[in-house]
Amino acid sequence: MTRALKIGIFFIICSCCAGVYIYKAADFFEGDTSTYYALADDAMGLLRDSDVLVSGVVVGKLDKIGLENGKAKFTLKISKEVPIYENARLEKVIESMLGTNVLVLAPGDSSAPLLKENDYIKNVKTDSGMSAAMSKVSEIMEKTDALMEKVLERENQEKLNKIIDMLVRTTENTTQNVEGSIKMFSSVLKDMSEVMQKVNARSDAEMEKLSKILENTLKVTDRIAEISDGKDEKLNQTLDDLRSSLKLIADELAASRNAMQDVREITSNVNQITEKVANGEGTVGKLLTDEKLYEDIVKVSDKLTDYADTLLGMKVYVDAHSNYMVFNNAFKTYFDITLQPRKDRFYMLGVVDDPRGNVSHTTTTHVTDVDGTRYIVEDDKTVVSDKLKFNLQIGRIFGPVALRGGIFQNKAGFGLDYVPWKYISLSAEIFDFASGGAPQLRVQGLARPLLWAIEPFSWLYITAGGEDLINGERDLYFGLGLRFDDDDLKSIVSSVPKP
Amino acid sequence: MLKFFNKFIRNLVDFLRFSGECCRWLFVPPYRIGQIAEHIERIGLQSIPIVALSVFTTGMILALQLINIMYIFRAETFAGAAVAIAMSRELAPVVTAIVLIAKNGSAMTAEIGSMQVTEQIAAMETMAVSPLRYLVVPRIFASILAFPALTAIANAVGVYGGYFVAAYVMSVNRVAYNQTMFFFVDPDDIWTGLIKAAVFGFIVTVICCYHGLRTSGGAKGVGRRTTAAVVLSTVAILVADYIMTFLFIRLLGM
Repeated sequence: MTRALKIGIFFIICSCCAGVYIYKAADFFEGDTSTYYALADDAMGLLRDSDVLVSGVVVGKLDKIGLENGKAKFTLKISKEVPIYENARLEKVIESMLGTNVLVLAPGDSSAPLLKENDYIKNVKTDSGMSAAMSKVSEIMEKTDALMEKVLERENQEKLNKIIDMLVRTTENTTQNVEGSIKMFSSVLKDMSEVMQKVNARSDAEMEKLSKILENTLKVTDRIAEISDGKDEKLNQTLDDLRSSLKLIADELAASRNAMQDVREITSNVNQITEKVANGEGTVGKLLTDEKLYEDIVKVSDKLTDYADTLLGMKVYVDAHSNYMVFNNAFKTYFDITLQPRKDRFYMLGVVDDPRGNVSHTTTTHVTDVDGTRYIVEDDKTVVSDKLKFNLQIGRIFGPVALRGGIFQNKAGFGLDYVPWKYISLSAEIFDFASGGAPQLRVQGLARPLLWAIEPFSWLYITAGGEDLINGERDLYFGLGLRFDDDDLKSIVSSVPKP
Repeated sequence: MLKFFNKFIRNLVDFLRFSGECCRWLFVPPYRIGQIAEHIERIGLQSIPIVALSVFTTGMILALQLINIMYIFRAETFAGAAVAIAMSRELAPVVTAIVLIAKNGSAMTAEIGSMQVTEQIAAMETMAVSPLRYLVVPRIFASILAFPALTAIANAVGVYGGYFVAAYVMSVNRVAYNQTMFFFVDPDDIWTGLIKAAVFGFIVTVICCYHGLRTSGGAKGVGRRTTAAVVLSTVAILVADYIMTFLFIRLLGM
């Protein structure tokens, strides 16, 4: 076995060990998360990356614990699949007997508006820890002790006995009263139910009869009035009262009859409409019964949702960096715009200012005659072209690895990015297969040592690597760059003073 | 006392100058790939058994002690998490570095020291071959690559040393132990451990090669310098470990 093979196997084994270990340790919850904040009185027992649970299901992580105005400030990364409303409640609860805590989130309901990214969850409860429970228990114990001391005094014991006697008697009386009331109430309910049954049993014909009886009674009263001829005042008064009462009853009955008629008509209309809809007649009927129409609407809606998702979820990264080429003693500058419509794919457009350009060597041979002697002269000509180059690439992201393909510095090629840690990125690009020689291999390591810091330092990064490593014109470089995402751009644009 | 202090300062300045020279030559090609590969084989490949045995035993001891303590709280399954976090953050890089100091650091000093006392180094300089570029730089490259690689193996072996004791000696519930093993370990812990190992590799090689190149006084001098190199390297990696841990805690909030 050759040395190179042995070393290769050694590093493969080491990489596998590290890979498996990191895979086991990594929390692949990450997902698509939103950031929320919460201010709490107490962060004791909470660790970075403590779970955030909804109904016992992990939906996020506690990303950071800091201080703001003397309170603990939690930075929460919560899955975008969980909508959180302004009436959400966050509670610190004990996770284990070892004193570790988790955050339990009640996401609220739609009666309150949705919380936006970077909003604060206002309702936070952190006093449910072990210490709070223990202090409450000791408080209760103290009060119980004091109470027991008072109870055990002789004078108080006699009073207590009297109170207990009274309580027993009161309870007995109350029980009797309640039992009597319940019996009465049930009998009233029974009567009411019988009356209701009778009323319901009356038919329209009976109602008609009743109104006729009332009309007849009215006529009788008129007749009695005529007979009495207004001589007996009391009788007249009584008859007037009776007449007006009967009129009122008759009017009410007529109104009820009309209302019943209206209800019947409405019910009949509704029946007709539902029948038509069920048969698929009319626009509404078609909407409800035509499966093709329904499928078309669903398709259109899906497409609209996709389009809206793409438009709203598009991330934009702007990157500018300059590398010092060690052997060429020159700076090579890159400006890239990356559009990321989805989490797993991106498009990159860029311009590269390459002082080296594309170098082509041509050798021409010609014969010169000097003083009768013929010399063969070879002219070496080096042409530098395309100092301004373009990048146009599409890429797919598979976890920490991204594959890129497209135009790399005016040449076709493909690349591979590996981001093992958010602070570090390793890239390799191979392109220019058509030059006749070996393709160009570009390897780059990128470090963002200040990513944790506040802006603008968090945008800074450093690069180091090699270009054209396979060919003889290889060069090493190191450089400095800036990278903004769309949020950074928004904050930069908003902070620019208006003229 | 003053004489000792003067000597100490003179040696410190000399060492710092030597380290600076090493750093400079690291970035100047050509890189002697053949020599680097030879040293990787010696430092990395040939050290796998001894490193694996050391960390496996360390993991076993740690698990044995922790399980007994955790048993008081009926939380013995959490011993795996403690072993894993201790291994990835501290024990794997430090134990690996100490083993490699004993095995390779001493060998580097003795080898270069012997060349120095037999005037082979002087002969190289006469032939305009820089001993620093020819002898030291390939060793530094090899160490920077081999130390983290061996630490990666040490992480895995150490953790499963603990698992072996928990599962087969202490009869702890295997599934629960396995599930909680990586409970508190974060990928950042592993990366920082590997970064530490790379820095240890640089420090150990520079110290050992420095002592080798400054050897004088024949075979006795070689022995004295070898002892000094091993002791200094061991102390240096512990101090560097503290400083790096402090920085990681401050910078990354670990």
